[in-house]
Amino acid sequence: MASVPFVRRVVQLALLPAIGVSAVLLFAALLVSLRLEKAVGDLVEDRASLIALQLTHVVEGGLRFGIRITDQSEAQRKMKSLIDSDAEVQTIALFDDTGERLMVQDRDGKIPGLDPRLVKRVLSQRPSKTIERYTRSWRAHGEEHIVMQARDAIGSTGAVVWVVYSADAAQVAFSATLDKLAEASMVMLVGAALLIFCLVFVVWAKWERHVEHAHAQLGEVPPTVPATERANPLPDVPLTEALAQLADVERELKVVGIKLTALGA
Amino acid sequence: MQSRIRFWLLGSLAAALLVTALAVLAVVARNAGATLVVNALARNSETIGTALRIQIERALAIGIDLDQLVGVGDVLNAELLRHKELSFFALVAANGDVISFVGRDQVTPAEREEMKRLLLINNNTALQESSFRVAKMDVSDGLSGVRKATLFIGFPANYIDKQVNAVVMDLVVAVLIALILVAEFLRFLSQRSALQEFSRFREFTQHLKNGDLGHRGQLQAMDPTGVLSQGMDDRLNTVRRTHQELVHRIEQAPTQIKECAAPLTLRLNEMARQYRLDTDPKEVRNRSEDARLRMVVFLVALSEEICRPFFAVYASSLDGPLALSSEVLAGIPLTTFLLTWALSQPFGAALLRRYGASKCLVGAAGLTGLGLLATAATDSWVGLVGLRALTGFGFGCVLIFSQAIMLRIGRVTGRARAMAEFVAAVVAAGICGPVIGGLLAVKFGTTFAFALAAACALAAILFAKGTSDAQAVDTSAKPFSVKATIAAMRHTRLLFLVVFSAIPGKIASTAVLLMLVPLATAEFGESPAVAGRLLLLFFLGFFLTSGWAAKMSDRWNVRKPFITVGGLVSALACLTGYAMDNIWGLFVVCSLLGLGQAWLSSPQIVLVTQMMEARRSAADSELALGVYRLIERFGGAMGPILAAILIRQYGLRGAMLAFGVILAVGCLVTMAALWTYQEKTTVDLEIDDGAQAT
Repeated sequence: MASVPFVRRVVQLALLPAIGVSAVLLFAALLVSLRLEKAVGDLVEDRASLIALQLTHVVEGGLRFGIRITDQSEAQRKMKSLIDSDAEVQTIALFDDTGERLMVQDRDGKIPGLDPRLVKRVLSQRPSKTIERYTRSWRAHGEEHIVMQARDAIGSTGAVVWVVYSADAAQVAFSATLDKLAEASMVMLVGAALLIFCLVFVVWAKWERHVEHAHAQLGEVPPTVPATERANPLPDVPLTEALAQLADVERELKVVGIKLTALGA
Repeated sequence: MQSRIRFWLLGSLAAALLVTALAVLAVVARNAGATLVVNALARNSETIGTALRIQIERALAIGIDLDQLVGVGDVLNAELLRHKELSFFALVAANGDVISFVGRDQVTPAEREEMKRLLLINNNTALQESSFRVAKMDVSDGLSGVRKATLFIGFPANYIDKQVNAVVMDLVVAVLIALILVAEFLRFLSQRSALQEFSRFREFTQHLKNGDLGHRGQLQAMDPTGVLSQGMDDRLNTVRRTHQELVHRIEQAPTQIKECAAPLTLRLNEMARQYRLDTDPKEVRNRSEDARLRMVVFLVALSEEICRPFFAVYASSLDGPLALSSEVLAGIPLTTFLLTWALSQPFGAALLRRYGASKCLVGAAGLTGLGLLATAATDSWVGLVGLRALTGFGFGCVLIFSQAIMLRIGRVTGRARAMAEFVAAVVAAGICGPVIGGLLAVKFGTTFAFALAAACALAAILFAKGTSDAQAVDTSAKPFSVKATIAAMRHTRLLFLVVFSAIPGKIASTAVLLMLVPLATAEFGESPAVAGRLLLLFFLGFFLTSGWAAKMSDRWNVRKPFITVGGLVSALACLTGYAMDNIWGLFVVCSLLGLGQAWLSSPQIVLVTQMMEARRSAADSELALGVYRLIERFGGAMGPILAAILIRQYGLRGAMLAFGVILAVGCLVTMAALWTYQEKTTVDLEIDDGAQAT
């Protein structure tokens, strides 16, 4: 029967691979959940960009006719329409070419601030590099932020549009996926840990039998090599070959000793 | 043999079980995510459709008839190009006329006709059974609300499957990264746990198997393995005593008997050399110091790799001078980091001598960690540049200190293998860090990601604290002379090695990985994710083979063949990329380049230090290592610049050919220069795998 020290040793040996397997599964689950969250998050960002683009088109239309932003009633109307038509739009704001905020619509009345340095940075980007408007986007505190240039009639930056869009869908995707994957991982982990323990138990028991047998035969002079290599369950530990080498050297020394005795030394 | 076969079968079974577990995770992820992704997609379709509907209604409201609307197809096409998840748009009048139908190239003509027919009969069941999902939106006249047309937006029904396929690819990468990350920590833990004694017993039996009777297990545990090891130690001591007694008997014998026993004397002397019976027995080496150092290098390298994916965007978002473009705002902190990293290299040797291994590593890791912590807190671009300079210096110091200490330890155990440990830790961090950093930055923000990176570097202090190179050869007695070192480095063969092998290898690696592969991937129409996976092949190939190559290099105590083969394989990689002008060619380029560089990396460094030592002057090999690394870093910085020039002149293929030729010529010139160099004139003090005994 397995003794306490033996079981303790098996547990110690099984612990590391079990930790390894659990880390691999949980880490993979985390990364996959984050990846799915990104897939949903990208779709949310796409939608938020569309909202910003709709307002940008309206503003640009007015600027093209030389109408100042403060005089554009359509822009104000459009902002209200966008926030009313989509429950996930949290804030829409419009900044002029000096970075001053001119119009804002907010869903719950708590109007957040946008870093004025960021607005200045977006205003300063040269629009001529690409046909696409310069846009900055990021996610913070479960909300997607889009800051987009609007161009005037001669192509320079006439205004900046800022949209804050709820990214709860991405967070929900992450949580839902991680919950399911964590459950699946825990179940697989329990199975894997049991399997590892059983495997280590069997292999270590065989190993200790092999070692005890080798130790018993080590007592002989010269030591006898354990019967077959098959008895060693761990081929990476060349115990049989090592003992064979020891036996060879001892045998050779014995022969030298006999010859010396024969010579009279 | 049978037990080895069983062992491999067991390993295969474990791999199969792991793959099954991952398949289960992929299926669970697909089922959990399917509804959420499709819902998000449907919402997007609705939003896009609303925007289009408003445009069309505005035109109808001012009196333009539906069939007189010009440019509807162009507008729909523009939206299709912008939203890659959609498959087609269709505008169908109330009377059934198809005003416009635009679809992606992947929608075949037969599928187009089928969709048009289904849209006309407006059969929901049939639509659901097709290979597309369709969202519908009524278009009114813009005035009275009368329906004038219907706008259909289609996306592929297997969109979630496409996303899951991408997730499965990422899952493979995720598992790989998880395995490497876990392996690094397990490697350290195994040297500190119950496995440590077993690992020492294994090494003891390997010495004995190779005929090296000069080592002792000296295990303390009283379990069967420990008891056997103690028994084997006793027998080895008996063998040694027996040998000494026999030698003594011959020495004490009369001259006549001595002459008759001459062949026996010869054999006894031969046995002493062959089986190391003439040296004092040594305990099998405890590898916990190697594991500790490797963990320090891994954690510090990981801290920087975590920041890599988002750093450029972060730097360009800070409040810097408006006169500088976003690219310059991103580039200056990066360049500052690389510059201070490079400049820190020559100082490693002097600082190590003055302050010792533990203090140096603790100080450097602390500097890196504090720099990153301050980076998390700063919102000033100028501050960021300053902090990058500090962090770069600390990071560079950790690397050069670790290499020097590894080389010191390696004098006893095999220098190439010691260097391979260092390189493997850096490469492992390079594989794991960017993915982790990128995802954490998106999920929790850059401040969190920087703070985590700082925590990794500061955690390295715990491992660096007890670092001791006590097992290494003490080099402090040697005089330290910068002048002598620089003079020794001007040696012809050393210069050839550096100029024609080390620098071209670094230039080609950075050029191919940072410029050619990403640009070529984009040219072949693949996404940046594919480029990332190709680059991963380089690091994987490097990670998996560098240790084995270093072990063989130490076992046979040769460096030149590895440098030659590595150089030729690297050249072949680029030439194959030129010949195979497709994505599979890039696959071969990255794999072979990783293998080639893995083969030559550690042996090359060892040869440089061995050449320094062979000069037997006051030259310091650790200082030489620092200077060598400095030159290498500048070489690496030249890579992208040279690539840009060659691409401009000759195109991507031409640039790939050019680098292949540079590597091939460099390798051949190095071979010629080192042809008559005798490597075995300087050997390591001892190689611990018993190679010399066999």
